[in-house]
Amino acid sequence: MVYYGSMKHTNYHLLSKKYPDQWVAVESRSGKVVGASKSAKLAYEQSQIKGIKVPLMMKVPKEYGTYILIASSV
Amino acid sequence: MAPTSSLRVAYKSFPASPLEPFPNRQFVHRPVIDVLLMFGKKSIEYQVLIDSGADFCIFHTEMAEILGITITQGKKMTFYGTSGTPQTAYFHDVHIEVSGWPMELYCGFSSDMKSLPYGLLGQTGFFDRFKVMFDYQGKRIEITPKG
Repeated sequence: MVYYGSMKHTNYHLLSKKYPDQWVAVESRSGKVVGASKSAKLAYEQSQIKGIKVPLMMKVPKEYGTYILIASSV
Repeated sequence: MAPTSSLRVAYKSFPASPLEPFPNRQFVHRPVIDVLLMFGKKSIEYQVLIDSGADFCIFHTEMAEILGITITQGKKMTFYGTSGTPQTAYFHDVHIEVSGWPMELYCGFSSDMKSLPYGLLGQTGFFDRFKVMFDYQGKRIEITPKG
């Protein structure tokens, strides 16, 4: 059995307050936000400038809300 | 090196406002994991919901744009959620790693995912390759590759 916990505890509450409806690029080991924008590509590019080659890209909603998810082809 | 046995992953907890039928709600706990997406020389980490209700794997179109995938060159598919509204995805082969387990994944990229914070790992592409056990009370997911 392998336990997987890649990232420091992420404060999703703080993210949704600070970056609602934005994409953020996060340095996954530290949990530090290294890019943020309405554009995912721009947030990614900000992370590259800061030297984080493989950021964790997250879409931050205003609210994590309630979902009932299906994706059906028919 | 890729693990050969099972993988145990914690549920992620997200803040949630109370609702009329659930007045004490403060968090939602979801089987969301971080995966590595690779295409060409680019890699990104990305959060995906392990969703047994999804027939396929569908990711945000923005991830394809970052990776340099020309989205509309993929095969087009219309899919539906609970609202019944038709949505569009274009399918491509990408390389992903689930905690060090490398695999090729044929997944759709959709611009109709705007309201969702995660991509979806669904039946074809994920559940057909892994045995997945959800332990909500223990807040753990156990993932085992099928032999």
